[in-house]
Amino acid sequence: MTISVDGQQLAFVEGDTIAIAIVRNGQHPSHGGTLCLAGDCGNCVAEVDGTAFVRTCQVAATDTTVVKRHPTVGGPPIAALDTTETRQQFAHIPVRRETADLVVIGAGDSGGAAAAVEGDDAGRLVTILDTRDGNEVVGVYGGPTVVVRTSTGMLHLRANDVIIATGAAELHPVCEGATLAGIYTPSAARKLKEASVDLGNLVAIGGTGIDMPGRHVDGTVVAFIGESHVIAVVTEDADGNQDAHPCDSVVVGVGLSPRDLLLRMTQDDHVTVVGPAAQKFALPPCPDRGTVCPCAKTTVDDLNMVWDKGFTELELIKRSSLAGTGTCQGAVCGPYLRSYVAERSGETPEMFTARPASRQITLAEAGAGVHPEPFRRTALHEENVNAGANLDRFGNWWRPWNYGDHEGEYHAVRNAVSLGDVSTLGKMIVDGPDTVELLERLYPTTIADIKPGRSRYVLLLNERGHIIDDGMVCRETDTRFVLTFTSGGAANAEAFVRDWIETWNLNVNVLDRTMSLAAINVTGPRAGELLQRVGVENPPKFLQHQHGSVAGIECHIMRLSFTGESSFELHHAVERSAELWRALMAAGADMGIKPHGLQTLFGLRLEKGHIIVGMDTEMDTTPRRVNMDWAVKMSKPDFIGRTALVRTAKLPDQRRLHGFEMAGEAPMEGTPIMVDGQIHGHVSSTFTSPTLGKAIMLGWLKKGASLDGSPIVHVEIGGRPATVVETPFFDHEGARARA
Amino acid sequence: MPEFSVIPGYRIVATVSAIDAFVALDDPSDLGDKKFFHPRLLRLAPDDVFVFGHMPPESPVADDPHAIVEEELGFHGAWFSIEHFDKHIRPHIDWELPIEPRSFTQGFVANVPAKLWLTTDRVLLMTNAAYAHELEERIGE
Repeated sequence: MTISVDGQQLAFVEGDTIAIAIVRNGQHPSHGGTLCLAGDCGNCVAEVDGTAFVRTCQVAATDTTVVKRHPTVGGPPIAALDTTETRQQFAHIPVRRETADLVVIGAGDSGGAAAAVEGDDAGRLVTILDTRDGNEVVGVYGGPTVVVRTSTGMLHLRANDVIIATGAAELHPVCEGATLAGIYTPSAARKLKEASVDLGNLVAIGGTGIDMPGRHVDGTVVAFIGESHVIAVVTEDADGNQDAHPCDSVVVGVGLSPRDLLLRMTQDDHVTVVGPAAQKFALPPCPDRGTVCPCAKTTVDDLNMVWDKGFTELELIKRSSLAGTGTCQGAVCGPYLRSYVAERSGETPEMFTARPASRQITLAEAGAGVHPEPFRRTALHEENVNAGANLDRFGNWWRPWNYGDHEGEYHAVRNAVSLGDVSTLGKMIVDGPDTVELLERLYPTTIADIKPGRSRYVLLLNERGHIIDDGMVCRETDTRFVLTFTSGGAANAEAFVRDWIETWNLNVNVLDRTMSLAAINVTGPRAGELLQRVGVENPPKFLQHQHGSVAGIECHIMRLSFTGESSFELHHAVERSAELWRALMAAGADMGIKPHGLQTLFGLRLEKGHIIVGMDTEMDTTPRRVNMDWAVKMSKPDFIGRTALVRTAKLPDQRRLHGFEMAGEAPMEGTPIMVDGQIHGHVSSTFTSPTLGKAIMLGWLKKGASLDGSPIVHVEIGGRPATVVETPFFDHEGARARA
Repeated sequence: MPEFSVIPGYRIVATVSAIDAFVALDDPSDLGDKKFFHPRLLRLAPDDVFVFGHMPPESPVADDPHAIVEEELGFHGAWFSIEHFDKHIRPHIDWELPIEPRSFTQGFVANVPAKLWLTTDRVLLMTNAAYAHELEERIGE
């Protein structure tokens, strides 16, 4: 029976772990360092069957085992997986979520005693988890919840109480040459002896109470000698006399430390520790040379360097030297680091916090059973799919990008009638005695003069006067309004509005209807005619709105326009949305009706020069920069952002959003705008207009970009000449929207 | 697994005192413990209740003339037996459920925002219609 190690076949005997099999063949599982063979350190980790950082001392050798040692310097290469494969791997790791009364981690002496006393004697149901039984606890979280890697997948165990009884770990020697192969802790040497592994001339030094095989010598270890494998060990007696002992292997008993990694992961009162894991063992002597942290390869010289730089607390030493950040999270170096700090500061620090996972687990294991953020579906999702929509994610919604015929969709809007699924828009009802005051303060536009049944386009600014959203304000009664927000802004709208109501101590009721109402945009020169066909005798005029039945379904009908055509937004209960969609499609069949997606909508609005907040605006975009001063009434006494706008109005304007056009196909969004060979901006929106027969764009251009200070007319975009033009690009008078 | 369907009802948003009065009026026997649990309504927030059933023609909230009363068809959900809930849904809940035998609570179930109405013998699991498909898929796995 053989295993493959770096392409070499190594014989093993039944019952060997991979690490023991490798040592049996006179080799080291990695590139050297003391072996504990107890899963405590990172000195035996290697890639096993394609998975990196596997503790080879914990995995049985089989005839099919393939081991690759990690590189001497740096980590193992990360295998490139395509996302599909990764998703499949996630799906393949089963997760059990169970509850337990009392969980005892560790089935040794202390664990057994705890289970008997705290569990059986107290009449509690005990679950014992132990690595040796194939239940590897990799994390303990508040709750408490215990995460376990088992042979059949991951186990997430919610417990009333957890007792950690993981025992003690053996300290590794820290001195010159301690990274050589051939050095073992006492229990590792005993395991190897029991497995009949020939360690040759074995020298034993020190002791921890564990029976140590080998020829015992007195003194403490000061150095190991050898090139890659130890050939001699140097000891020192109490008088400082040194002695070299030729050997093939060395077993060193330095001391013990509590194996309390899992305890240090959580601060839950229901997680306790017993036995050696709770014991305060004596710290080892302060190291004066050699590698302290084999995982991060941190030496005493490194510690001295960070100490001299002022990092004198244990947590800071960890962060600055990386000691304790590796595979074993300080199981090996932690006691030495504490000893180091104690010697220099006079105070012994507590051990630093540990974090899951205590054992290296794969991404698939870590992500197993974890639900990603959900994406919402509009009430028209099935209709969209059935209509051949190419869906994409926008603002946590699945939305139609197009229905497979982008140009056909465009012409349906410009020449006939089309439907758009705009259910994702933010929708909110506000009502109360202070509503008008609220909205006057909230928006930079005048609200009080909007008559019931009328609506107005509004910008939403933050305190710095920067645009954060836009939408419509529809007045229903003296005190009741319906507000709309962009799909992207909807998520924060309610919190924003409520926050200001509380801040200003106003009496206004707020109901967010974004998720309760669907919305269909009926748009195109024949949109009004279509509505008449489905029972709306007198559709509202431009910027009017009304409630009424559309194809037998109660709707809030808003007349506005983002596409530049006559448009009616029909807000209605999500439950009736598919029914309404089908009725409209059927009624408009002879008109050439088609649904349109976002790709078309973005192009249509660009022809009209309408901005999309978040796409054409930046974090610091004021209305002036996007030429929308007309949407701000500075004569109002106050509104959010007014003070900032007053201040910034006195400052020079550094850049503005402009319209651009050029022959040919539109370039990609984000393409730089060049003036005299220098970058002076970028395009934020682009569209190849079928109606205009050219590329149109919105883009940001720095002020003063021309050498002589004159307004810039000619620029270069994507290596082609382009011209700065006024917007809108299409229907300057807006006659079509009002038709 | 029971299939999700619309949970018909209506929403009332009004001042907290008006909502308190509405809840007490509807079941004056014991407002104390039932402030957030009621056999006919779910108090989603201090100023917001969801009432099962059809919307009345007149505003049922007398104490706030500006109360917003709107039909609500945007919640989807299903009733589950306690056994089914414990086996298939509770494992997807990472937070502490109320221990009272009759409780209304809100939080993430399988990382989907949801509402739970826990009664003595069954559980109503609700979410927004836009999330219903995700929640059904996730708890059905």
